[in-house]
Amino acid sequence: MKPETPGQPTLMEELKASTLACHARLQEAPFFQALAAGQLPIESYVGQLRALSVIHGALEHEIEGSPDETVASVWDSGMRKLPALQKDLRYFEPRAVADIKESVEEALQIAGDIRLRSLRQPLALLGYVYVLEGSMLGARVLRPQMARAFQLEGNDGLSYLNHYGADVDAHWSQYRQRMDALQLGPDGREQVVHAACRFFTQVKFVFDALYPFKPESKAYLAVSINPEAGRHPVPADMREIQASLRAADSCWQRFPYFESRYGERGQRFAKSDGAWLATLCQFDQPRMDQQVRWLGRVLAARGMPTLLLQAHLEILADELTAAVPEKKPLYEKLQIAAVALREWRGQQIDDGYLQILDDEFHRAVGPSWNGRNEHAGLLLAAAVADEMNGNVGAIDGVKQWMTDASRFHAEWIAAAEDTITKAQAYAFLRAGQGGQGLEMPQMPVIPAGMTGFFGASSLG
Amino acid sequence: MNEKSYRRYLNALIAGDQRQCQEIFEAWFAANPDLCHLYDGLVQRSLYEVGVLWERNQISVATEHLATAISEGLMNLIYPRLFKLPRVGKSAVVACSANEYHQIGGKMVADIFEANGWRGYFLGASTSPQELLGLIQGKCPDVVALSVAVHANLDAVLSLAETVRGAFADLPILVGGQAFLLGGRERAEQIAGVHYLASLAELEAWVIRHAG
Repeated sequence: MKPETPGQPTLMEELKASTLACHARLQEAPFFQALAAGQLPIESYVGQLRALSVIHGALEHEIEGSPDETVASVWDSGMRKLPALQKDLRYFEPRAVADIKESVEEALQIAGDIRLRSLRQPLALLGYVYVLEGSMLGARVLRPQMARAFQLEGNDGLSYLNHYGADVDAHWSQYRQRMDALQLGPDGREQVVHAACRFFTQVKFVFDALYPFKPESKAYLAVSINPEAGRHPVPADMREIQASLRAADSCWQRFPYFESRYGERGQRFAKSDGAWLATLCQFDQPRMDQQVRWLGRVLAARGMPTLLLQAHLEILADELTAAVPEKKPLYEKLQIAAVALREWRGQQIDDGYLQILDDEFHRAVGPSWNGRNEHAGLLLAAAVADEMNGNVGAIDGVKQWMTDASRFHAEWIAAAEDTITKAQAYAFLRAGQGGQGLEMPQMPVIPAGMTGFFGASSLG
Repeated sequence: MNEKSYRRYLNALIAGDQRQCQEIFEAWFAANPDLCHLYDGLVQRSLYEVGVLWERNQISVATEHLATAISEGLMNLIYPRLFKLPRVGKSAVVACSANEYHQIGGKMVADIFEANGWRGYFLGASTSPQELLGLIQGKCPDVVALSVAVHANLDAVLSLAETVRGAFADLPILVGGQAFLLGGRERAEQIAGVHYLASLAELEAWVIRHAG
């Protein structure tokens, strides 16, 4: 599509002309010369994938959450490349390739810029997309070079570079049409073009850091686990990292709620959070407990009651002990932190009553629905305990999702609301504050065999 | 300035309204040209509150980053005015530990030194021990101030303090920052010549006491 003003270049023509010089400088980076000569170290290629994961992770998250209709009119889900990057990184996982700190730092700076610009100048996101879509044209050249350099076959480790396969020209053509169809004023154009130029310059810094690199630049960082994790510490011992990843997977499997609600992105955060938790073992118990409680607050407000963190800590302690038995005394701190969370929750609602509410929920929604989100009642009631302990937003964090009519039927929603009401009533009663702004519902019948968990004294 | 004005500033900060923030920021400074009061009562307080809102999932991480960027931008407006003040012939080197990327606290500390006639050399976020020692060697400051925001970085900042102490036996070292809200003061003050300062007001009092 031609621009409205005769003689004015199209947006894509302007982008190409404006970025020509910085594009050329990027292509001259030693990284590409070493690749062409077959001398690029594996750390540089895997580092490239990780840096791009950080960038794509931020960009795709911001674009898909952006309310800007212009941005949405250019974007389609087929342009998401983070899954391909993740797939490539999984392929290289067994080789335990270290990160290059400086390239990760450059990528994190870019991710920070993307987040800021998405709020201030959302059209700038299209400048980043331009550079990354354009790089798919160049990927046709890079892909066989990478395959030769690292003896890769098919799509193994090359999914990103082969994202559009043989259709790369067709995708580029469609993308160009969408971009040139935009009706942008001078300010809008300026945002897109400026962001593209700046991004080219920043990407050059990434590639300059990727090759050549100093031996002391190699490290294992949080972004190796989760490109959106930022800069938090992770263990230096690969055995501890692997144990953390296994623990996150086990916890994920134990609570299907995680997968239902948070999907692949959530699983990545569970893994990076787990690796961070493992680093807390270096601290004394009070400091660990403080940090665990802080994470508990953050997660509870995002729909993950501290009961889930407690389970994660227990599994993590077991996995770490199995992986590095000589450090068992250190890992026991995680178990102690888990017990502290449990006791803290128990001050509001004990485990026995949580189980009762979970069972009631199970009966109310029936086995087929319960199977989809096992322990939903437990999580709802645990969220109430968290909220009563001062974790602001814990109930809403779970309730909003559990009572979403587009996701659940009326009986499920009623059961969820009923569970919250009963849990609140129980906690108020235990605190001796019954009736304070809350109408007391009738207490449930306690099934046989459960009375041992909470007796009359605890209700009084 | 009153609570209502602070709330307006906080709301503008969360909305990313830089212009409104600047108006209120300037009004505060015009009403009371006391940098410590401005930083403590407006900038620091609002950023702590933004942090709590993020923790409670009431704002996104992008909004939090934008609030930080706006705050830093406003602080930069003050900077030229600080250089016009008379000098007392003393200087401080201000740094954050390695992996500490929350630099705004350190920047405030450096500005408090400047506002009281000292030269405040600020090294920015994530300073390596080598960089810090090099700058101390080059500038021969009267004090070193180390800022730490994230509790997980406490060990790193204490280690940095020990490194400085090892290289410069008599140089006073000040430590502070949000990380100490969760403890660590006793550990810091076990290092010879290290003083913990709990607030910008305490820092300013220290700076004034040691100006002569």
